[in-house]
Amino acid sequence: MSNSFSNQTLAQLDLWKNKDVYKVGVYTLPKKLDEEVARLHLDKIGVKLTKLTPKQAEYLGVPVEGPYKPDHYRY
Amino acid sequence: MSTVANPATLAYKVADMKLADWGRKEISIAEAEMPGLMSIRKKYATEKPLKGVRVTGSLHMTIQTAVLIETLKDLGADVRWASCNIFSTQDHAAAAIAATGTPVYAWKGETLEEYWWCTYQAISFPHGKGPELVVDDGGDVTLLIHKGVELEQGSDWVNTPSGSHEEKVIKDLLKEVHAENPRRWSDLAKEWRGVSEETTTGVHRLYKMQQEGKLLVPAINVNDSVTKSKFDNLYGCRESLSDGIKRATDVMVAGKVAVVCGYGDVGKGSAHSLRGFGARVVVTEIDPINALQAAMEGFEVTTVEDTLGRGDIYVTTTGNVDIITLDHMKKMKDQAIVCNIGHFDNEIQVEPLNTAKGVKKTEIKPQVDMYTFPDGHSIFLLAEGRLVNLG
Repeated sequence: MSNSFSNQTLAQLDLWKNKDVYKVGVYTLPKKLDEEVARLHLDKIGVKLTKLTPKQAEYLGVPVEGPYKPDHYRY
Repeated sequence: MSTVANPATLAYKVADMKLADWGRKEISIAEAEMPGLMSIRKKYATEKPLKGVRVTGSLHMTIQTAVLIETLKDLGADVRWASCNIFSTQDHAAAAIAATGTPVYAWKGETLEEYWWCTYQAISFPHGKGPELVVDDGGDVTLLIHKGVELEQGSDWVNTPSGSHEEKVIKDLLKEVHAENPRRWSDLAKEWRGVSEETTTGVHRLYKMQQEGKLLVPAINVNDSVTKSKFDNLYGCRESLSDGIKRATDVMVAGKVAVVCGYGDVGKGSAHSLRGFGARVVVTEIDPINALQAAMEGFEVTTVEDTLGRGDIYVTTTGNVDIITLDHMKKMKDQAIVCNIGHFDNEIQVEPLNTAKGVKKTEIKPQVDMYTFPDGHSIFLLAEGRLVNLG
């Protein structure tokens, strides 16, 4: 539930910070934040992440720091 | 119980404050297991971006939720909380939260009347105020506020026949509030700025309201964050389904024929949970893509009807209604176990089962009921058809 509740907290922060920007509607959190939630959990379970080289990032056409996948990617 | 008189005057309502110390110890353990929340706390420790913001939560009042509540408080929020399920509260968690002075209204084994009273308390901030933000799980707070506003705008929904006892309880609460203050919900909705929704079911409700043009506030669909649905729905249920069944029944899962209805994220977790213990798992699906996925994983895929007489354990995971019908239960094998891990209890026809002629109900222990049919066979229903992993 750490994933769920991290998303809940980021959603609450986002709703409040952008309360004058959001129009009525249903939104999902940006992929960058989704990746951030995952990233926050890696240390705890001993995951060592590989970092893209600038050349690799350019080859894939994504920023070195992410987000790494297009919105239509389904994992 | 007086349902609405003087809301916000009762500081909290939980089962037993003597459980608070135990709850606190378990919250400390959970903090170490929730690095995401703890990192967010650290990041915003000085900034307090939710300072003074009124937040209502309606989400299973468990130890892990306590860590969420205290994170929101750490960010500065003024929090009130209720559970989103009558059985899911861990009483030691609720007591620990109440002990910190946070208004929490939740205990394990609420009646539906009590449940909606708790929800209303969680909405009712002092001085007649309501929440500015809502953390919802299943959409009950969102539903109540929307129905309240619609009533004040002339909707006749509260006077229409109810499809279930719970629907009647909601309508009675709305009528009572309306009689006391005919502008209560509109006033409250004016300062409501948004909701974040936890579940597939709640999100489905939100999109439906948006389509119908009824949605009042911006809503963030937390469920469809990849790190939510592809993790907690899947891996959470993979651990908690079999745990829930075994705690309730002490049954040996190995060798049993288990029927998992639905192969979405929750269904996938459930099917693998039971397979992990050695059950022979059968999956039912309406969607050809999910059905093919299940088959490629090596599960038999067939209809519920086709499993009657050989299925030992039935689990509904669909988010839909009438998945296990009274007629199915009549034809099940003796001693079959029936449970649900989808958000609402209407996946199993529990009310028709309770009112069926000639069917005898025997409580084995809280949340484990045996139903004996006229032909002599019995089935076990867990958690009255509500979430088995949180019962």
